[in-house]
Amino acid sequence: MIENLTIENFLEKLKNKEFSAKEFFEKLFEKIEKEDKETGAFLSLNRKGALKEAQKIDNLISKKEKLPPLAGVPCAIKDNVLVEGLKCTAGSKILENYVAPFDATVIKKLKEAGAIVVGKTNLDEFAMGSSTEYSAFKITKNPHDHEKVPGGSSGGSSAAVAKNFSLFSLGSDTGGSIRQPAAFCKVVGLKPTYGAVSRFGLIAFASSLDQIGPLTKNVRDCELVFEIIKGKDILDSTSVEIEKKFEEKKEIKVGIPKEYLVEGIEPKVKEAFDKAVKKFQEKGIKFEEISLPHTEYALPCYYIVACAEASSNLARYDGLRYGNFCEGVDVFDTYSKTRRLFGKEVKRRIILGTFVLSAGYYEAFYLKAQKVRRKIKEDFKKAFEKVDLIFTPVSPTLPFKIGEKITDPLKMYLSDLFTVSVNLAGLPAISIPIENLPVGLQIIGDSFSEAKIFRVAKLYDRD
Amino acid sequence: MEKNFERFAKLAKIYFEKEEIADFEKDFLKILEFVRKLEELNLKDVKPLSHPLDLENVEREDKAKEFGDEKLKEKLKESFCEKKGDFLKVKKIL
Repeated sequence: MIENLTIENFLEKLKNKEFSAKEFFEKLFEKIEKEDKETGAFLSLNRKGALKEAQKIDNLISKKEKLPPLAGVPCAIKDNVLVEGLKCTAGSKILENYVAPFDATVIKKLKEAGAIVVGKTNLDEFAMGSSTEYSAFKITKNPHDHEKVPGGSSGGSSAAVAKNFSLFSLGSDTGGSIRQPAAFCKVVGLKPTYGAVSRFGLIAFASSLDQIGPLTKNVRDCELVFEIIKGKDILDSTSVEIEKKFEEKKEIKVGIPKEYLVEGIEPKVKEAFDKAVKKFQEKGIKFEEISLPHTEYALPCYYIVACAEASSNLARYDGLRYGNFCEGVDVFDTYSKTRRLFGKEVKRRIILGTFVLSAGYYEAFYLKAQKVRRKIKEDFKKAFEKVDLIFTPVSPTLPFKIGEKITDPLKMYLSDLFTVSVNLAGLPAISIPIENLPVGLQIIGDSFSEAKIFRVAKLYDRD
Repeated sequence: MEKNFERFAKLAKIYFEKEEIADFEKDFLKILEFVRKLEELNLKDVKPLSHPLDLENVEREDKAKEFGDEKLKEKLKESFCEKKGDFLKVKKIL
């Protein structure tokens, strides 16, 4: 029933009474309970709550009342976004039993729009990872090939959409965590401009890089969800209202950075990328080669900045106000034994972050990385004086095997080679599936130019 | 380095077993080597960038006010690991 539905189709069928919302959700949960044992997309389900909400939508329909824009639309939420009354673990033992006391702003907006939360999806612990294997609870499999990873860290969210367990999902993207799993699971994923979507209620990893965004079946749905979750929020002082209007232009010029198509890229990815570019050319898009000279420094810069911010953000897990707690002999002992519950990758990043911020190393590492960050942002600024958008592949590789990179953190970090610059510069970027392969085309725009990205990405929409 | 690693572990307030340290240290040194790539660049007159947006600090008056939402207050208290009445119980600091 849900297999070939987009959000638009669903709303139409619901309004035409081809099914009731309650019927739909009952069948949906049956499907999830049967099929998710294998995939492992969800950490928890919201069956009771969802059915109650579905009934409310059915009541509106029978009373012929006006329906909200996402009436009854099932969505899956990454388990680092708070949904009131549901567990929110961030994939970590330290938050294993934590129940969200309030809704994140994005959830409040989605609920007001009538969307219904199906459940919370798996992720790498605190969103730190590129394969969802660093979750403390379970492995999520790639729905298209069970031996492969779904990507990460929003791997549960991308798998849920690909498996038709929801019509859209929310993920979070700090260095590629929406775009790379979207690519690996053949769905659409948007990392909005920094500030476009409120982060209130998102469990923080790296505050100057994190953004919440939608994962959907096509670009139109992605735009629909983005329009609902975006906007200034008084509870997130870094959020801003998008004022920029998209001007229809006759000719759209796209830049392809020469630094992205060099060593380390798998031939199949390159081939798919070239074919997609050709299709856009046929639709009248003009291409030219550009240069983003600091590309090779983006990944080391990102790891310094992200880990520094993570070490500071994760200092809050002290076993006092929330989360699990391990009794020690004194206050220091209690902290350090409680924080032992973090997984290996999280500990690695906290230690690196602590190191680069510590006296004696701050200037050589953190300050230097901040300077490189400016250079990276300036590279993009210069590029956007010449072109409207930038195209790159999302990931240098195809989905890799479960277990293949888990013991080598550096190898895992290289999965984010093409995505981290966008977060450092705060730009919006979408990943769209191309050539029916688990390969994503990344379309990067200037700040707050989501409308332009959607307009061009839609040229490639499947339906 | 072992001593150094322990120093950062202590600063980060994370307890490590003795036998875990070698493994963590090995990865740590590898990652450090990787991020040292930035040393190739001449960044003399570059201003550091800490945030992608040009934002101004949002300030408010430093004044205590009543936490209005009683229901939320109760829920927040439920998460406390140890409590006594309305208070969060913590270990002695000094």
